Amino acid sequence: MTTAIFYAEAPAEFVVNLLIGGGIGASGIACENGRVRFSVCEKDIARTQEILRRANVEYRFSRKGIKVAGKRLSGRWGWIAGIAVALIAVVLYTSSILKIEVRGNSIVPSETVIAAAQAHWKKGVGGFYDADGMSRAIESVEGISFANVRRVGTKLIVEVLEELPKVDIEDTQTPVPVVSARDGIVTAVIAERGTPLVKIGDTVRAGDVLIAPYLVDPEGNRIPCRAKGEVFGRVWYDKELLFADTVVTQVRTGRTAEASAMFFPGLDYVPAAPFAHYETEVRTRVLGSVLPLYVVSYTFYETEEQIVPFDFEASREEIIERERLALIEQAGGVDDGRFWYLVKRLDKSTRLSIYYERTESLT
Amino acid sequence: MDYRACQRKILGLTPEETAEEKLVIYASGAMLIEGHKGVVSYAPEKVVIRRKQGKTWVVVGENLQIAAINPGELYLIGKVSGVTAG
Repeated sequence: MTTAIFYAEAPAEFVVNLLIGGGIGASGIACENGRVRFSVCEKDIARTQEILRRANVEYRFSRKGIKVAGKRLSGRWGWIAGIAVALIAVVLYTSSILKIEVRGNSIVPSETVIAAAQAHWKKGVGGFYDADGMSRAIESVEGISFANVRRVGTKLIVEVLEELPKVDIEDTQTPVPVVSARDGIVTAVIAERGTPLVKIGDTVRAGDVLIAPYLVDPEGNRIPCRAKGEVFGRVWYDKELLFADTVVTQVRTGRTAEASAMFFPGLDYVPAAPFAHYETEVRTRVLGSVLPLYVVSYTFYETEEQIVPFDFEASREEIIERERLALIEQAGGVDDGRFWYLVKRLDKSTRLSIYYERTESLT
Repeated sequence: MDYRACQRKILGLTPEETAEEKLVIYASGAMLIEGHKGVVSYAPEKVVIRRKQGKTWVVVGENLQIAAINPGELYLIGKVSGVTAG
């Protein structure tokens, strides 16, 4: 809207009365150095000039408004160029995405997040981004539970929330005791919850309660809870073996029998042996390279039982080492304990007792 | 008590005068006068406004300025401290 500011060389009240007498509305009436300044709207400019001329009041006026400012600016090329540059800068700034920043991630790498959303945004001048598409793509990344994308200036900020690790909920209420799984002598008690019923040096049997499922308050009341802890103790593994002085063994008599069979692979056939006790020797021959034909030759050696003496001392070390490894295997395969053995000569046999002791959890 | 009755009581106006004239002083210190007949004198400390039958409103205050005026209304801004009906 265009207005005109008038400067009239006359008292303010005189000019105001002239204006309202002519039916003109004015605003911003102020006295400045003996003259009055006021504003009238565009439609009243000509009428105001006429009224002031008739009253012989000296005046001058200037127009003010967008149209007037536009006309004044039209000849000033420097101003126009400056405004154009500013407008271009604003347009470029608002249409550029120069950087992307990922916040809130500590486990999932930022590169993974950016790579997941790369189809939904474009970097540079005239860059674009699809916030919903980016959020959905990022939320599909393993380990990300939520994503929010927003733009701050030329920077794209991706805020993510990572999935929390799963928590195993432990039952601490059901009153269950910690019991011994094997016999032993207690060497250490670590009770995390509950009341220990054993102390170092106690002998416990498999099934004994080691940590009771209750706590005792200062007044002596028992508060039920689920016992938790570990009790270590010395545990023994032992084995007793009896070796007779004689053993029964099979000895070949010298009689043999031959048998052959031809069959295809997968065909299971074994010819019957002509002896009650025998040993078998098998040989296989391939007949042709085209057809998978095999000929299997069996040689049966007749045997008979014979009692022969057994010398324990000759194979003593071998037997003891074999049994020691068997005991270690029984103890869980950990060779960190103490091993010893006893050999006792009996009337017609030899008794071997071997022991393996180690400290381990009784629970 | 309505607005015009209050105005009659405070300024000692007749019912005919209050029917044609209206005077509002805002909390900001500005003032609206309806039914004026022109301005007698205009200074930042005192503005005398003509009413009908030669009577006046004398408005005193600080930095008084006629913000807008037309044949029916006058809007005065500044810090109005008193109005006298003459």
